[in-house]
Amino acid sequence: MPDTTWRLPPDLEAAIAEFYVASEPSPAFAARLEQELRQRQTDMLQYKTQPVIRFAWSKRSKIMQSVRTRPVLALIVVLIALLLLTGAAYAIGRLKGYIPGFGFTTDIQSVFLLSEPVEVAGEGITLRVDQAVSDESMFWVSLTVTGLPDEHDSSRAFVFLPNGEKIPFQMSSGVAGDSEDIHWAYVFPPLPAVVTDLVLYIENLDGQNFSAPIHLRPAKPGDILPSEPQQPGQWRSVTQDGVTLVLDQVAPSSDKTVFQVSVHFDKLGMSLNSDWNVLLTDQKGAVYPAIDITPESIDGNAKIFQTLPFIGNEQLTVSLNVFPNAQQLPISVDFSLDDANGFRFDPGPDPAVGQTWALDKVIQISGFTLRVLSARLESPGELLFEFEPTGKITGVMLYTPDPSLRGATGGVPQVNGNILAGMTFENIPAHPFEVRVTRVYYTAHGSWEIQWQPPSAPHGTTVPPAVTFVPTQPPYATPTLASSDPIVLEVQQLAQQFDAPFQEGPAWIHVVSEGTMNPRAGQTFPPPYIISEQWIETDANGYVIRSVWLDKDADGNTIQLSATVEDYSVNFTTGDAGFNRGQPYHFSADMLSHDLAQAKQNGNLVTRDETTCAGGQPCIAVTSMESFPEPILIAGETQAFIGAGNTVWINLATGQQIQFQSFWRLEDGTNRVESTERNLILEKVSSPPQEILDILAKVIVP
Amino acid sequence: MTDLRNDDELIERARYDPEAFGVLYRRYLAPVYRYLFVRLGDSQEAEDITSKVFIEALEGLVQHRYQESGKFTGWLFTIARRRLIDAYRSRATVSFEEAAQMSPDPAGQIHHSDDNIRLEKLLSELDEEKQELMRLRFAGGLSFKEIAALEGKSEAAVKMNVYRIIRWLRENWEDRNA
Repeated sequence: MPDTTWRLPPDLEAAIAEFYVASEPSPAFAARLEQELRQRQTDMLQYKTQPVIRFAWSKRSKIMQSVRTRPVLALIVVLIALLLLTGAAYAIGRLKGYIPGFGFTTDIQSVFLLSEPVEVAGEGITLRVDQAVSDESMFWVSLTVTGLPDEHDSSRAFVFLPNGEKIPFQMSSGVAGDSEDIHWAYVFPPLPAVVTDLVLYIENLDGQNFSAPIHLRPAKPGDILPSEPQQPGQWRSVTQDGVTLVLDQVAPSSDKTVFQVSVHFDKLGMSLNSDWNVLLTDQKGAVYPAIDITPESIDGNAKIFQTLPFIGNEQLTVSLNVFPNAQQLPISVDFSLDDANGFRFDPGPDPAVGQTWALDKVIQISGFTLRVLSARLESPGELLFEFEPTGKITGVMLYTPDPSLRGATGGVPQVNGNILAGMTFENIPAHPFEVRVTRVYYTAHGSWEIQWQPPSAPHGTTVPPAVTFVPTQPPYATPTLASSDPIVLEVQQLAQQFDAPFQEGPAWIHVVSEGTMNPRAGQTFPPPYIISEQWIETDANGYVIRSVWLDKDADGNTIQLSATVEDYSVNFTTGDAGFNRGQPYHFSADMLSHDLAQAKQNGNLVTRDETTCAGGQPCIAVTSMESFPEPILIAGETQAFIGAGNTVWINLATGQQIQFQSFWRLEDGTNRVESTERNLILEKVSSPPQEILDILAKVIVP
Repeated sequence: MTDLRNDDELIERARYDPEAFGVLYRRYLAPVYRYLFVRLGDSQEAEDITSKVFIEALEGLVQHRYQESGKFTGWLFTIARRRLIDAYRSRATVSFEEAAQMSPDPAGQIHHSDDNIRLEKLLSELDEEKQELMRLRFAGGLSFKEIAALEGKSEAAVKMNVYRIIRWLRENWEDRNA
């Protein structure tokens, strides 16, 4: 929420408020949506109390794990007639959304696509043909069925050709969608040449028959060619700690290559508890753009990326990236209540706040061993259990069927290495109750990579060279703030004095700084100490044109590496890439002037103290402090905060801002330092180390 | 009742407790809706996308696609932006007749007062990046830190940019008033 305001003319302030804030969602809409959300969540939670396995493909342990981990949304699967087919290589693609699964064909001339979707309505059931593809190997259609009462279905599909020939389907597959939709695919034998008009006939679909006229058009360069449902997992990483990366599908077009990657798990209920990305590199380490174009309808375990068209002889690696450490994935495993193990806890007839119960119970669940050491009643409704973790376990979630349960909190690592897991009650029961482990968190260690050779762009396409140039942007003149405040003026003058030589190019600027901060309990990122190194190249006019940014922890381990070429950035650690939509700018080490001017305008207290910096240099320490209207007590803190501020130390001789510190002002008038950043090196050099140039050379700008 | 001390605790509870998610919902409904409404200029469309945002957020929480890191607001608005892009994409496929009926500037549909019209004119002179900063700040109610995380910029840079915009608005507001 807004934490700073500026003084504005009242009529402007009112206009801004009216323009941005006056619109409100209608109460009816708000209530309706809240009710819908509540119902959805209740359904989702309800599902967790039921046996997990309910899929027809439950024996296909690896291939579809990514769908199974989305149990509520992938409610049913219908495999029609499939089991009757012998030797049929069947599989289920991701058949939702506008890319119902995709692939490529080597001869675009022989491919025909659905010219436009077709919808046919029956009694309570609507059938929409989303895609149809005919090539030399098969004809297949994908469709969405809405309103089908349940998963029990005995329909059969045929196509009728213009000459009256009736062709039965060979295999089919399906998956439920987010709502009432079910997405199906039917695969037929290849059609006779140049058949562009036919009828899809679905027989006995909940007792009804449907005829959908289909018109096909020739595929053209630039189309993303949907692929037939095929055996997924053609390209897979090694499975490590239960996690596998799979390159599901790849589709080339004349100006791009689209590929789908998914994360699969080898246990029911497993999830990756973090956003993830991929890094696409070639054998020389060059990083190709991998722009996330995943449509809404794809579940969180699969993503679709767009990259460049390929010649087809590139040797690529797609690797899983999870920040901050791609080799350590935060994983959780959910257990249904039927599977959940636990223990019986007896709080006694009169549990008291602060009371501790010594426990020594060992719980075995799905290969995990947990030892619960103790329990403590933190408040009348909050009970905490302390666990001694074993192996890679990082957290535990608990549950009890006791009706007084109101919620649960996940495992929080303690300083002693143990884990706390809590349950909240309306009031803790005064009788024995079951405590069950419903989720275990652990860290999967490994490196998930797939080596593959991409398909070539369709015939007749000219694949551009991998390295392209970004458009030149107009320069952006950094405006200066006008202020008459003597401290602001002094800081601005010192900053300009220090920046001036660094704004003359061409040059390389080398910046090294270190940061320390107070992490909160359970915080894993950022770490308490970071050392950051930047290499910045400027052009003849002093504008920044390339840069490399590297963060390392106290042990020298790389936390994050990113590079920017003109306006395009690649994060080598997370795989994120894209244009910044920024404008050319000059290097500046000034982090203070504008904030200070703003602080003065806000009426914050700004002070200037003469002091001595390290090395005996005369310095000033400029502090700005904002007082809160009322004390703020944050959970876990012993004192309330009454304000927040920053102090910046500036070398009077050079003008350099050498240290930045942010702090909380506590009720007793003392400050608690939150973070400190100190400049260690800031220099102009003729050239960077070769390794920096090598990093920049790996950036392939789309 | 759910004890709600801060977002992180609330979010953890919201994974299992519809009541806690309800509190999150009520806390963020108006900011998300306002942001979408200012972007779209259509209450029905804003409500539709608001629904999608909260449903996706709910699923993301329950399925642990969101991990506690103090960035819930940014995450929520990232979802909102994605769904907006979807909406714009779908707009791009409407017929010419429908397109002709759509306002080229959705904000232009929000007419209330002379001052408001004057502000709209001023805002329309800002580039898209600056307009987005204003939307996030004033319609979405995001803090500078949250905007910085969303935009991939430093908090100081965001503050500076918003300050410049406000300053520019103030100067031009008074100039044109005069």
